[in-house]
Amino acid sequence: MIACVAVVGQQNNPLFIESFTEGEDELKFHYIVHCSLDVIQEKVSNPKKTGSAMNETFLGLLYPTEDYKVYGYLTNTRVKFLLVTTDQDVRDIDVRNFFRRFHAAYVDAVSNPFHVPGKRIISKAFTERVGAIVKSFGAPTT
Amino acid sequence: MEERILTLRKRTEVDAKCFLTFVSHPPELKRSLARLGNILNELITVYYKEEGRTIKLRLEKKPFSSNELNIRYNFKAAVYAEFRRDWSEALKYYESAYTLLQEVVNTPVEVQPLQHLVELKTVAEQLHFKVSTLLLHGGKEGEAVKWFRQHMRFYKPLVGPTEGSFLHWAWVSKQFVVFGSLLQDSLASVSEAKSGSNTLPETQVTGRELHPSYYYQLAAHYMIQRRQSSQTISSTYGAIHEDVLGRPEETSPPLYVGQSSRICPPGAKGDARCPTDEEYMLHAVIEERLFPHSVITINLFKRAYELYKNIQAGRMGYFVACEMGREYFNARDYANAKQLFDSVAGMYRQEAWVSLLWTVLGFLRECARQMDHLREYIDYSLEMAALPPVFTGHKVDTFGFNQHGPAGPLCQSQRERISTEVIGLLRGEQTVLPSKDGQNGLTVVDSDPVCVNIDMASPLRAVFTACVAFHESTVKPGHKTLLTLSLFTRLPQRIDFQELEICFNQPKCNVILVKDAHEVSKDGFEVKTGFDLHLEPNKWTRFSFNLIPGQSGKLECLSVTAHLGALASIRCQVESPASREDVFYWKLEPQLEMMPLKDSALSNYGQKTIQIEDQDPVVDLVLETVVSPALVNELFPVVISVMPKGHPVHGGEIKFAITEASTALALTSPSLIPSVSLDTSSVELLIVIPSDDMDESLKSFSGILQVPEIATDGSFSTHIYMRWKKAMAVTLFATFSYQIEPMSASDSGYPSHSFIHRELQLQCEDPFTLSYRHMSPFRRGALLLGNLKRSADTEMDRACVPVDEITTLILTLENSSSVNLELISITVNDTNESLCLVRAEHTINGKVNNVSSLLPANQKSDFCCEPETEDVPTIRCGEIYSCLFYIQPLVESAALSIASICIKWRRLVDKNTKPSVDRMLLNSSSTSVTSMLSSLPSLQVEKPVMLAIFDSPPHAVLGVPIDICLKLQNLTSLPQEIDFSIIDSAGFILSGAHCSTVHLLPHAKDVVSCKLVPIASGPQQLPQFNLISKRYNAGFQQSSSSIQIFVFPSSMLAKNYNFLPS
Repeated sequence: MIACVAVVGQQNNPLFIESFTEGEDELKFHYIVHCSLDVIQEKVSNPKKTGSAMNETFLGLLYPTEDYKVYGYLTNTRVKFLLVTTDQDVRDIDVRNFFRRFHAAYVDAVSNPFHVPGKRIISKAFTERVGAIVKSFGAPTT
Repeated sequence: MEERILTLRKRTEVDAKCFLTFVSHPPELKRSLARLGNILNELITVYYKEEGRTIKLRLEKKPFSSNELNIRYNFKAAVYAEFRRDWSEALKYYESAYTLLQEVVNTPVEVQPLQHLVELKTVAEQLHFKVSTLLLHGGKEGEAVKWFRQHMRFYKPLVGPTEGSFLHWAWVSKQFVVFGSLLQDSLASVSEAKSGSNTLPETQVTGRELHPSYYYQLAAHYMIQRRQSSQTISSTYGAIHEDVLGRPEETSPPLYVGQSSRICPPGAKGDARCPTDEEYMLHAVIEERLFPHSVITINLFKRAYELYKNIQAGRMGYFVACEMGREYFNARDYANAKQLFDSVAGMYRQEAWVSLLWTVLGFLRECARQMDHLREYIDYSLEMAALPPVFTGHKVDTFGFNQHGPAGPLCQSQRERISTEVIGLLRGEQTVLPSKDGQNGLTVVDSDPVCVNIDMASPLRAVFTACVAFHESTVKPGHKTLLTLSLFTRLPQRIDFQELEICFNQPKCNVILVKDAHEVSKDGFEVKTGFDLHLEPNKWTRFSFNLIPGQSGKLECLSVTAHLGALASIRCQVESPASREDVFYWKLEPQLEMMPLKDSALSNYGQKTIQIEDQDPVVDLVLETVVSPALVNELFPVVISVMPKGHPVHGGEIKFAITEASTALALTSPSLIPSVSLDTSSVELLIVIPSDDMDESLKSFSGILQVPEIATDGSFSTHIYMRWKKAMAVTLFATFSYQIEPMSASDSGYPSHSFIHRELQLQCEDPFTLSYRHMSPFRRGALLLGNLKRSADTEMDRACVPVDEITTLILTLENSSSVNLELISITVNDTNESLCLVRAEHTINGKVNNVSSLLPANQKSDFCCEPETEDVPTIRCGEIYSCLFYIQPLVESAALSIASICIKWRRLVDKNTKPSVDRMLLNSSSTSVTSMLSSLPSLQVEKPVMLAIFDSPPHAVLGVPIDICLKLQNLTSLPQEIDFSIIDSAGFILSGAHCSTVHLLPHAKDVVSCKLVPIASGPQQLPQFNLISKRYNAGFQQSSSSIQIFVFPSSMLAKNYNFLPS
């Protein structure tokens, strides 16, 4: 199950964080997402050492906490997408698919003429769309 | 010896190889020990191999009824394999034992469940330790991490009975610490490259999991959980009395690993029993109460923090530091906690993680409260209240205190609560609760008023921002200028101020804005009333008012101090609207940005500074010239007039400066007068000091002219002179600074000092352009070797003249200026009579010097016109004037300096010129005459090798024969052979040889002559002689001017003109 998704800006500032757990500490996910930025930075600066391919937007598993696994995705404009999941065994294809759809939703949201690029995303439509993508996570694609 | 060994062997039935002679003497001791070691190793290997084989057989038969025995035998087999250094087999049996143990754990137990679980987990820990060690020893870090992950996944949920949960968390924490230590030791021994290769994606082990800091961090987390559980359990147990505890000597050690100590009943020695779960728990709680949880936790966090720092995982390090701070806070070590939280807050501010910043600030605020630091408490509270509310409302209610720290969750209501509290505290209306019993709590007191300082780098810029924009960019002193002060706050509630104090770099401009005049608390400030001093959240509040600056220069608004009450104020550094930037995390908020000013132009380009111009001059300063342009070396007058315009001048001075016109700046202020002016080698300033003798009265001018007192209706006028050394355009700057009567200054509001700045562009030209030409005497040519060389070397431009011969120098003056000039005299100076004789021919008034006998220069060499005489030649613009000089060098020289000439001239002034201008131009004195000095060109003087003197009658009559001859003179001590030829002329019939060769002995003379009959009248060219000296291979040709002759048509006509004797 997806516990949290986040969009982090070019200056490592949070643009959107949404958690999908009931009664759990949302702040914990803020810490997890923030700490994941270290791994993204490491992967971007040392692609050879971390084994990530050049020009690959999907950064793979960033690091597991005890209860969660954090996956990352980096756009060409240095916007980061993060996924925190409670599932211990997640198929790579599912995560890639999720990020692809999440990215598309983000592009649509920032293409809104009333949205100022670089600012926090508060669009309800985007939140609902992300919720739908999260719900369908792991489901077979048609 | 041999026999004794044999006997011993037989009696003990021991193999021969097990016998050795052990020598204990030092030289042989080492060898003996080595042999002993080898034998023992061999025997041990054999022994454990045998033992292992036996156990393996038993394991294969599986005769055991319980899993416990099975685990035991597997463990034994693994240990024996380890003894034999058979690592793979040891690992296999340890893993087998570990798997079997999990089956045991899954079997429920009725009796003493707590102790049973503790025992099982201890055994599991032992087995896992062995497995991990062997895997890490084999370089399989990834495998080890996976094993550890499985180990924790299986055992972590096995908390057991609630009252024993702290024992479980202690065990979990220990697992992490031990595995972290094993990993750290392992990573230290293997190469970095190897450890890097383990981060392959297919292993699903990330770099963080291979780093020990991750395990230390989690160990610290479980240590916190242990503390929390033990605190809960401890409170349920309450006070434990000494009689319940029993005495320490009544226990005996446990039988097996993981079991508790046994209790020996009093008097029954050796009949020990296992304690009940209640007894076990009681003992564990007592021990737990003495355990330093926080110290251990902080140490673990510190280890993790250091390791994260080493791998440059900054954010992870800050998170650990944050956790460490929480633990310090929990341990009531507020100083350390505050230090850590302060370091973390900077990072979250920088990256705009507001939710995390809020939590950290909450801790900091509480630390400040606990430490009685009022000012810091206020700062943190203000910053928290001004943070953007990033959480949505429905989720915050579920958050508890533990996660969000003492400040609770970040929401609008919390912000409002904090804001109300801190504003109340600043107003002195509220007291923050005391941190300890018996204390008064935090409050602002009269003796120590609080001023919150907000500069450009302060995190409190969101609390209070001040922008000032002047509506104009420049203003005159004493004139009103409008400025708008815009204030902004992100605090969630309205703030009312008592007064606003606005400070400028010119203290006289400082103002205080109040609602009513009687509210002013400070003296020395201009008070402006009628302002409603309150701020609405997230709205710009604007105050516009007029200022009257009194001093020229830059006026800049520095700060705004908002007085909240008698005891507290907020002092904020002022920003210009043009350069204003919002706080980073507020910039990211999706809200409409509001302009500091309504006027968008001012909002985008407004500045907090204004240029105060110089005071309008009340006195006029005029710089003018009477003639133009100036000429080099001339005394050029510049008239300076000072005329008060309704104001008396009480003394002053005019400062002058000269710069080259191309570099002159558009100067607006007296402070901008060029500090570096032209040096006196180009242009010099002179001043006339009133004196009878004008030559004596010209003094070099320092550049400062003192101006006396001038009445309101009076004026002051004087003139200075400038003299150019070379022609160039310059700018003359003059700055008049003067004193106004103090009384009138206070009446009119003008400053007592005032400055006027003027500049004047001046052109300068050269009066004459000089050129020189040398000519040999009429019909008297000399063959000079220097001329031959010069023709080969074109760079050599020095004229070559014969020694002891008189040469003519033609000096040509061209008036190159745009004014008409009068030539007074041309004088030859600096002659050396022993080297060269120089004479000038007077051509101005028709008198010609006798050039045949050159006399010394001081007697009759110059020609001149007296200034008073009327027949001074005038050379108009572009006109040329020539004069002749006769030069007779007396010595041979490569570069003979002849003399210098001094040309005296003056400007031709119109007869209608006013007498004042005429006087200014000094025309009535000798000073009006300007001298122009120039050196005559140096000559190359050498002895000629041959002289050729041509002789012919001055005129001829048609048909009457005449004789012409060429006299040749060899001036060398060598014989010369001269080829000559005569080129026929159309006007004459020649009789004689046309070409021949003349042989000249040393210093000998010869004459070549011929007879001519003129056959044409009028000016005619005589036949021309061409000579070639064979020795020097040099030719000599007559000039065309020297062979001119006039042929009269008849002798009668010649007589009429007195050319022929009657």
